[in-house]
Amino acid sequence: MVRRVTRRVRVGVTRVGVVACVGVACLVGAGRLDDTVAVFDFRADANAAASFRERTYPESPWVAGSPAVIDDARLWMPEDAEYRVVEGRELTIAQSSGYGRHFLLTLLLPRTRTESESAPWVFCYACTPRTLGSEYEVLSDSGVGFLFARRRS
Amino acid sequence: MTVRAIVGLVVYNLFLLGVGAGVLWGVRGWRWWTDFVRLAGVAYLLGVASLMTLVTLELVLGIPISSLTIFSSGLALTAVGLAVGRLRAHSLPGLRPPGWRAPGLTLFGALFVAAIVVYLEALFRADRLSGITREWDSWAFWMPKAQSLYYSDRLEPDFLAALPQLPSYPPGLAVIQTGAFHALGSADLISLHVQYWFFAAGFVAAVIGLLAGRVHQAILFPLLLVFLVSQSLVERITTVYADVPLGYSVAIAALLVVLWIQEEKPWQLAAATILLAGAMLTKREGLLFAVCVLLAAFVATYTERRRWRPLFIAGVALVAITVPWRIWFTTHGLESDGPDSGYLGAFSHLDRVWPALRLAATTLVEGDLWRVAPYVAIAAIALAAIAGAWKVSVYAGSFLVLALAGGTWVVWAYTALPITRDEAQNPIVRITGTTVLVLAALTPVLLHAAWSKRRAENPPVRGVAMPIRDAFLWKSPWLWAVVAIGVLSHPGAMLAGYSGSGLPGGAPRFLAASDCVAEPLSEARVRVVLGYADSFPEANDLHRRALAAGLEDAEVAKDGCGRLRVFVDDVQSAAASNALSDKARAASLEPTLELDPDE
Repeated sequence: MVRRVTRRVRVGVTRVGVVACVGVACLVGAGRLDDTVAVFDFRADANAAASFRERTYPESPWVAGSPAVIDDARLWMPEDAEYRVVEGRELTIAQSSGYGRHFLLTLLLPRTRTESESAPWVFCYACTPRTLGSEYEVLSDSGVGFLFARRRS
Repeated sequence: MTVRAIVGLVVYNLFLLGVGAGVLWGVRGWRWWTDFVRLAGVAYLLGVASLMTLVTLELVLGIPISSLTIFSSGLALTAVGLAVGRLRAHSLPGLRPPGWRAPGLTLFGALFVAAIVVYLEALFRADRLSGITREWDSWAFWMPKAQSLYYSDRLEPDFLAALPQLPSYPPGLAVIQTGAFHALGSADLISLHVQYWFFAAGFVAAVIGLLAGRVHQAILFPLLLVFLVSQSLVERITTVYADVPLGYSVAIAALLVVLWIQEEKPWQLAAATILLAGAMLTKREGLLFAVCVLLAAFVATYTERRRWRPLFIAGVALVAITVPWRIWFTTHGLESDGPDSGYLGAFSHLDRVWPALRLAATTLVEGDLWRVAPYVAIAAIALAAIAGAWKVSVYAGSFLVLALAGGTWVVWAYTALPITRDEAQNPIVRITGTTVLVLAALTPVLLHAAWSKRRAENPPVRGVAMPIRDAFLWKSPWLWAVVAIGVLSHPGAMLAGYSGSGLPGGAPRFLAASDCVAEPLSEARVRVVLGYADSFPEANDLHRRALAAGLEDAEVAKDGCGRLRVFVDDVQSAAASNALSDKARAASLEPTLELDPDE
C-alpha cells in the first residue's frame, strides 16, 4: 500500500515537473522568439547599412591604424606584395600593443609582411613623412602618425 | 555577397552532406531513404567532422590543401564509407517502408516547428549580411588562418606564430572555412557567415532527426526552441568563431552517446566518436568536452562494465586521431596549447580554485546569458532521477558536473585569465555555451524519460507515449500546413513589401560594388565615368589615357564600394556630357553617365 502510494506520488511529481518544464519552455521560447528575430534583423540591417570601409576595417581603441590608409594600401599593393612595418619614436598604447600589426596581417592578406629592409612597401606607426626619409614616397597619411609609403625605385 | 556565392555555398554544403552520407552508410547504413532523410542532420555534421579530420591529417603530412584536395578527400571518405557498408553487407535501401505515411504533427508541435523555421529564416538573413568588424577573434586569427590556407594551400608555422592566438590551436575549422572560400569563389568574409547558418541548420536537423520518434514532439520542439533563443547563443550564433560549431559537434556526440547507453547500437558510439574527433580539431576545448562525454558515459554504465570496452576504444581512437596535429606543432617548435601554469603547475595556484568554481557555476545559471534553459535542464536531470530513469539522469548529471569541473580547471589553470565573466578577458561564457548546447540536446531525452520511465530505458522507435494525450489534440500530416504557413509568412511578407514581420519589405538586397553606382536623373547634373579599377596602378593608367584624350578634368577617387572610379565630375548639361563621352570613346574608353552625388 505504502509502496503503491509512494510510486504514485513519484509519478505525479515527475509528471507535474515535466509539464512545468515544458510550460516554462513554451512561454520563454515563444516569448523570446520575437526579440530574437529582431536581434538578428538589427544585426543584418546594421551591416547592410554600413559603408564598404565600415564593413571591412574594424575600428577599436586597441587597434592602431587608419581604415583610410589601409584601404589605400590595399589598392596600391599587388596581391603578391611584401611590406614592412616600422615604428617611430612616440608610440601610443594602441600602437605598441601589437594589435596594429595583427590588423595589417589580417586585412591585407594575401600580401605578406616581412622584416626585410628592402621591402618595397612600408607602414610606419608614430611617424611623420620625414621619419621615413627621401627614400620613400608617402602614398597615404592618416594625419595622426600612421603612414603608408613606397620605396622609390 | 552574390547569388553565385550563395549557390556555391549551397553546393559545398550538399557536398559535405554527401560525404557525411557516405560515412553514415559505413557506420550504420539505412534500410529506407526515409530513414536517411530523418538522419540528414547527423550525416551533415558527420561530413563536416570527418572531412576536417582527414584534411587536417593531410595538412600535417604537408599535402597542399587546395579545392582539389578538399574535394578528393571528401570523395575518398565517401568511397571508404560505401566500401565499409558493402563489407558489412548493407542492402540497398528502399524508398520507404511498407505502409509508410508522412509523419504527423500535433497542432502544438506544428506551432513550435514553425517557430523554429522562422528562427532559422531570420538567422539566414543575419548570416547573409553580417560582417566581421565587431568580431575580434574572427579578424584577429580565425579568418587569417582560413585565408592563409585559401591563398597558400598550407599553414606556415611563422604565420601562425605571428597571430595573436596560440599557434598550436587545431586547424580543423579553418579547413572547412577554406573549403567554403573556394565554394564562394573568393575569401569573402561576409558571405562566410552563411556557412554558420548551415552549421546551425545541421544541428537543429540532427537533434530533431535523432529524437523524433523517441521523444514526444510536445516535449522536443518547445525545449529545442527555448535553448535556441537563449541570449548568449543568439549573440554568438552568427559570429564566425569556433565556439558554436564546437558546441554543435559536442552536443550531437553527447546525444548519440546517451542513445547508445539506452539502445546499445554500435553506430551511435562510432558516430559520436567521429563528431568528438571533429570537436577536438575545432578547438582545444574539444579535448576537454570529449573527456567529459566519455567519462560521463563510463559513470552511467558503471553497472554494465562490459560496455566500458567500446568506450575505451573510442577514447583511444580519439587520441590517435588528434596526435598527428600535436606532433606537427611540437616538431615545428610552436607553443603548446596547454595552460600557462603547466599541466601540474595549477596546483601552485590553489587560491584560484574557489573563485574559478564560483565563476563557472554562476555563469551556467546566469539568467542574462541563457534565460531559464539551464534551470530547465537541471530540473530535467532531477525529474529523470526521481522517476528512476537512472542511466540518462546519471549520464547528464555526470556530464554537467564534469563540464563545470572542466570550466573551473580552465579558469584555475590558465593563471593569466582574470576571474571575470567579461568575454574579452575570460572564455568561461563561451565554454559554458558548449555545456548549454549539450543540455539542449539532452533535456528532451531526460524529460521524456521522466514522463515515461519504463519506456525510456528501452524506448521504441515509433509510437512513443503521448503526454497529456487529450490536451495536445490529434496528430495529422495536414498540420504540416501550419509549418508551411510559418515558412512562407516571413519571406512572403517581405516580398509583399510588408516590414512588420521582422524583415524589411522588398526584394532581398545583395551587397555589391554596383551599390555605389547612381543612375542619372533627367535634368540633374551628372558625372561621366570613364571606368572602374581595382587598384591605383590600374586607375592611374586609365587616368593617363583620359588626360591624353583631352579630358583634363578627369580625376581618380574611391567609389565607396572597394573600387576606384575614374571620372569627370559636375557635368551640367546633356550636350556637355555627350561631348565628353565622344572624346572618351575616341580614346577607346567606355564612358557611362551617373548621377552627380552633389545633386
